[in-house]
Amino acid sequence: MSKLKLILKKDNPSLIQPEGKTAGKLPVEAENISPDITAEKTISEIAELTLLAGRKKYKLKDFFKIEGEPSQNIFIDGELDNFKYIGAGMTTGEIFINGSTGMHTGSEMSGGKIEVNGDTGDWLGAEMQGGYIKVNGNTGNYVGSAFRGDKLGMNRGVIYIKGSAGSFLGSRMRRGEIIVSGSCGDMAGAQMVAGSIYLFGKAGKRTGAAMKRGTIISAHQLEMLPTFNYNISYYPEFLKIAFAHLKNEFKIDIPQNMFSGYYHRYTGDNTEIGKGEILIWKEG
Amino acid sequence: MNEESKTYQNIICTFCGALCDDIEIKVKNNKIENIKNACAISRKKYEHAQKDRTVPQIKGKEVKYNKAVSAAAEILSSSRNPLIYGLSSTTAEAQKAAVELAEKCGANIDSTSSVCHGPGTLAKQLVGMVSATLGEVKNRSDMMIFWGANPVEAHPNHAKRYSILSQGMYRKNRKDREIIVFDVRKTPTAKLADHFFQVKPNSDFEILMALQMLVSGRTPTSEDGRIGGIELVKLKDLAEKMKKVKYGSVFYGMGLTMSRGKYMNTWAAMSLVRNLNDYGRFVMIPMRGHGNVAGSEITMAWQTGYPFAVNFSRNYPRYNPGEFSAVDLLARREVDAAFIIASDPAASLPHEAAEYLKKIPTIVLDPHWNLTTEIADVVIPSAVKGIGASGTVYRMDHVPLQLRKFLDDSWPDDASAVSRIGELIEND
Ligand code: SF4
Repeated sequence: MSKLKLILKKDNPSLIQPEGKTAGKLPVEAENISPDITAEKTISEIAELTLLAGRKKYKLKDFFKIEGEPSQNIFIDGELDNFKYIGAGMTTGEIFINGSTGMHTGSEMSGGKIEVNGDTGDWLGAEMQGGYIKVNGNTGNYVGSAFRGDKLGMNRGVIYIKGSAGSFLGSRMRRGEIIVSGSCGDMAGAQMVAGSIYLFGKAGKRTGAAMKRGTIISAHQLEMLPTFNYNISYYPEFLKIAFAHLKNEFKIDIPQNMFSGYYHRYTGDNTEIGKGEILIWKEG
Repeated sequence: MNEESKTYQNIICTFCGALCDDIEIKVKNNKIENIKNACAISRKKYEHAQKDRTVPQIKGKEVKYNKAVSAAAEILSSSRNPLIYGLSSTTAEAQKAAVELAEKCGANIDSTSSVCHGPGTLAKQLVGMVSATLGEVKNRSDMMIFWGANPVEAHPNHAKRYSILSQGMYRKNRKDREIIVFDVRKTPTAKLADHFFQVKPNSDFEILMALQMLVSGRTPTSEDGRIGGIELVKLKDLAEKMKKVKYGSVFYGMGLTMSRGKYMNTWAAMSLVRNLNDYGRFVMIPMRGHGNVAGSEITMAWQTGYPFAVNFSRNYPRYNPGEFSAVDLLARREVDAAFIIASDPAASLPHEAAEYLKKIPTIVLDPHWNLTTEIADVVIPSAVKGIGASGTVYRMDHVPLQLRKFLDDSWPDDASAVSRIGELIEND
């Protein structure tokens, strides 16, 4: 398959060098790095694509060495932790980043796949409409959530984080699945409207705060809010189907012990309509 | 040089968000001779106001005022991602000029609000806030709740002028009001209260959520009969009382906005207050610290549509606390120049953020020396607002007040310095 390769130059215009020494890096807004855009262009057109560093406009070729051919399949190499909006709004194709990325990676995407072989910043897959994001490292706050001022977060799609996640994971999400293998911060699933969150590591405080509907599955005991009710202890059969689907379709590692044992079921948040559920795994 | 002394009535004290407007000041020979009605904090601040005054400086050397201003313009116009920060202790006029400047140089603009009451503002955007002026609360409120706020120490005249001890039209004195305090420790304000609820640190959210359920007649879950360190039965009694009062008010401070949970804490409080309006009237007022931090949000919202953490790198305003807020921009080392207006981030921001300011060109506009002027490349002096400069400031309940100057100052005010820098950049 043809591939477009972008290799980050060591010396690029995002570096902040007040007295010759690198002190920091300007944020670079890179929504133009998206399969929808690169597939339609020639290599020389791709080289001319605009990237915004701070308030100054630059060209893609100022930052990257470009190899391969125009394609829906983009491979990026380099530490892009100051690059925002990579793959934002993409509808198809694939981006593989060998390194870390900054904020808003894959936000509002509706199809295709992004894999980050490193960490990402906040707002990963925020308000995504579909597609698949896989992060091999850690990620920041507001994964799959709604942007400030918006009512609904991600609506379809799957986000898989192998490392840990920050706070407000999946807050106000509407649909879709988020899986975190490592730990996550406070307020996971806060104000969620529907969808599923799988927490295989430890979670911070106030999981599911003000959730309306939706399911949070946790492999570890959670500090429950007083606005949740304990219902029952059982093995929810649908989990087997859900786990099989994540395992087979997305190659997600599910801890073996979660296929057996039983689950404590809580419902809440009772300050809202109380139709959300939190399932906490217990040894059988 | 010996003139008659002159007395100024109804001067506004700008040293905290309460903005007491009944200060009486006697002036002789351009010096304050006597101050009346001011609290202890205010008295001290007035005494120090004319000391430790800055002079124009570039890299530690004293220069002419205009030179410092043009050096600032040069730094900002050559910057690719500048930050304009502070704003809470200056006038609305200077804040307005700062927004204009930010637009001209594609800057990020943020106020100290993002590290004090900003979370409350985020919450307000989620649910809205039922509020009132301090005058209304003073005249009518029969239940006052102080949550994570300690006005006795932080806003000393607040109790006497607007709340606990004030003489209102319908609520005449202390006996006509029930005072409730939620705090992690027994503060001097708590000692004045009828009921003090000691909150287990960082569990404000749980308590507020539980109260929401209790108000709607349902019982929250608790294994040991306590929520956030407070007995459930006591919370239940309080919920019943809250439903019965005619006019309740909640004053909240940084104990609520900055404890674990941040904006969700205030969100929970605002949701509770909203629900309580089904029974009687209930309002909320933030206990703002700096003199015009409320104004910084108002001015910014009226100019850009957003209250703080605004970015202009695409020539239109974008808003995202965490992305465009000063602390985060500095911690992630994403800005290449900083313009600090009337604030001291080297003292108030986390160490790493302050440390980064040393590495990039930094301009400080402030009437007084502080830790940030020490590390600044350019220092621009200004007249002290409310003393040597006039302008508009907003009280914590969003009431605008007009400052009057009563002393002559050797430097122009903040607003003219900021506008001048803007003009220089535009004519560049
Ligand atoms: S309470 Fe605040 S505004 Fe009033 S005099 Fe004291 S410091 Fe000034």
